[in-house]
Amino acid sequence: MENREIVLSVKDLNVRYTADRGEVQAVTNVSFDIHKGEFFGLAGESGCGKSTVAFSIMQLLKGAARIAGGSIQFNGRNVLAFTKEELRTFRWEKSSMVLQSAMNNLNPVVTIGSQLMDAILAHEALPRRAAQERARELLKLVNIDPARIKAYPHELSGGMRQRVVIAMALALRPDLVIFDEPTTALDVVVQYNIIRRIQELKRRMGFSVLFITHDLPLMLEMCDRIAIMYAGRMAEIAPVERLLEGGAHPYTRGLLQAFPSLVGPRKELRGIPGSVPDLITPPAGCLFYERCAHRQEDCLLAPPALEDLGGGHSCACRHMLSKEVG
Amino acid sequence: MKGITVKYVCKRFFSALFTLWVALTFNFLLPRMMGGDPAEFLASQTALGSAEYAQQVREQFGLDKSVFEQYIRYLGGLVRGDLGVSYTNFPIPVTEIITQAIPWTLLVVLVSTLLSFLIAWIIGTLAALKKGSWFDNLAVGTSFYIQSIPYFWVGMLLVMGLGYHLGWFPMGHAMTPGAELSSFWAKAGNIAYHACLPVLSLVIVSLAGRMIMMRSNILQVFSEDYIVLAQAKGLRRGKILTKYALRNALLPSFTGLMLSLGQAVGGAIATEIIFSYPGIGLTIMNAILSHDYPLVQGCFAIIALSVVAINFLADLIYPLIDPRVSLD
Ligand SMILES: Nc1ncnc2c1ncn2[C@@H]1O[C@H](COP(=O)(O)OP(=O)(O)OP(=O)(O)O)[C@@H](O)[C@H]1O
Ligand code: SF4
Ligand SMILES: [Mg+2]
Repeated sequence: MENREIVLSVKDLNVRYTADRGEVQAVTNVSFDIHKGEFFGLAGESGCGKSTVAFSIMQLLKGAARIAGGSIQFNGRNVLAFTKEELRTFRWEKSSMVLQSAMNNLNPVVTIGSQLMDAILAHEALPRRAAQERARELLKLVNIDPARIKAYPHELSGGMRQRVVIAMALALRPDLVIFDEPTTALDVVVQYNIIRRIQELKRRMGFSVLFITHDLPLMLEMCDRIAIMYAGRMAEIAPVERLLEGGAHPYTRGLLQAFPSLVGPRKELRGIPGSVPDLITPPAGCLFYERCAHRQEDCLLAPPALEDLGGGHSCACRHMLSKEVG
Repeated sequence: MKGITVKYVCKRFFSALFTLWVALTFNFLLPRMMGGDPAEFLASQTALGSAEYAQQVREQFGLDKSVFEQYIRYLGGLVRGDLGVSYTNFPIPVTEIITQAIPWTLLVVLVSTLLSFLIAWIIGTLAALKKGSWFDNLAVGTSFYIQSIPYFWVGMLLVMGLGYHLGWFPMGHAMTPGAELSSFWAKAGNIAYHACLPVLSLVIVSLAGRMIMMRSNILQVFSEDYIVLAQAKGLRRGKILTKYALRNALLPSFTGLMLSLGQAVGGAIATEIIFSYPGIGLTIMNAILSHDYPLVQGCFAIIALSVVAINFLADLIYPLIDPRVSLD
């Protein structure tokens, strides 16, 4: 893992949203690397800043948001310094994205074929016929009958639509594909079929994946490494094996224990009591303090920094847990 | 791809025909349910004012027959394009009066409707694209202000200001009365000149609402995921705006446009009164005031026909621009 080529490197990323009450510190000092061919997961409660990180990478943040600091390097190039045209080609050729809501990713009044071709033709000077042929190939890739190329989105099921978007995301053979909760709106069976498909395509085509979800068990099954965010900050980044042993951060431990079948002896299911602090006026110390079962007085001094533990594992906590602690 | 089927067209056509029949039947019944005897009224208007005269009128217009027989004659006439004879302009056929009035109404209402939609689309789109800019604030602010002014006031202001005080535009009529206009262009110019104020007044009052609607449609579409995905795909700005944003944002406006076109023949009664413009609106107004039932009925029949026809047309166009419209 260590010596593999790094595709994406996010360093000390800070993103702020301007709201009526003040600035929302949506993402603070977030750092992580994704290696070539790696299946990288990003998990955390709703509102912890996962989508904001994803949108920052694609430079798709809207008016209210601004990147207040940090850097995003893609294959060694600074994404934040791209010109308009560099950004346009970076998008989809280098990094593509499947958005959160499965249902509204596609333009309802244009055929799926035409939308696939738009993606191809925006980046490659091809005759329309050739682009159409490519679009058919892409549909086959995700197990959709190429004859449906003339179908409109509403004529397809939710699962099929999301597979079309996945096919679209692979159209230009990008180095990184970002999935932002690609299956939340779908039922479980469809969800697993799609995930299997993504895994298989990744093996075949060798792209890296940034996979965002709430679904921790699913993540443990699929990912190489998982990053856990809390209140806009990185809590822990760990290889799956380390997480299966329980993880080092009290928040990670709490999340894992919410799914008792996964870690250690069977316990009753329990969430983590308490709620996330306000991100407009965050407290001075560790943001997890209010809910932490292992807190001590020094935790209130300053938010703990992310510490490298070696082996692709890092954690931000003053009192990290060892394997034994349940 | 689905495309329109013959079955769909037939279904829509017969449904339109049925709607038309219902409308025309109401059109026949309503004046008869209102009470009052038009023959008596007509007779009272003449110097004779006698019962014999009223009877004569009744026979002449078939009012002595049973209602059912009148209804059959009415429908038969409609099918042949015969709308009867005007009471007050006897013996001029209603169709002749209507054919003279319709072009003026169509001219003013169609031009103002199309112009207003076009301008609204452009300003609304620009305002949405530059949301929060001085242009957007100005457009929205002015719209809310203009929307609160009643129409007749706008009309009067134009007539008084641009017509009477400044004398830039004629204060009424569709053409200069008694003017010798030999060439086609001189005539067209004169007509356009007279249409300016009525058109302007209609554009002013309808623009604001349509502009605000277009702006909010665009903003709504911009927040959709497929626009974000189109950006993420690295599509060029022009393509995102036309194929992804406008195609969707224009759909609701199309409904509005079709509705307005359907109402075009109904005209703008207020406009035609304020600008003494000789269209259908003024004709209806005068016909009602003088109890000219055949003329009122004829006008309403034509209005019903045009509303139904435009709706039928819209039904045919919808599936082409919005594939989600069901063909059942
Ligand atoms: N446009 C905005 N204006 C103000 N605050 C925002 C805006 N968008 C997001 N936020 C805030 O930023 C934080 C991070 O949001 P983000 O959407 O990245 O969370 P997320 O982890 O993707 O959540 P979810 O799992 O619900 O998708 C949240 O606290 C949210 O309230
Ligand atoms: S730093 Fe302290 S409060 Fe924060 S997670 Fe670690 S133990 Fe808990
Ligand atoms: Mg999200």
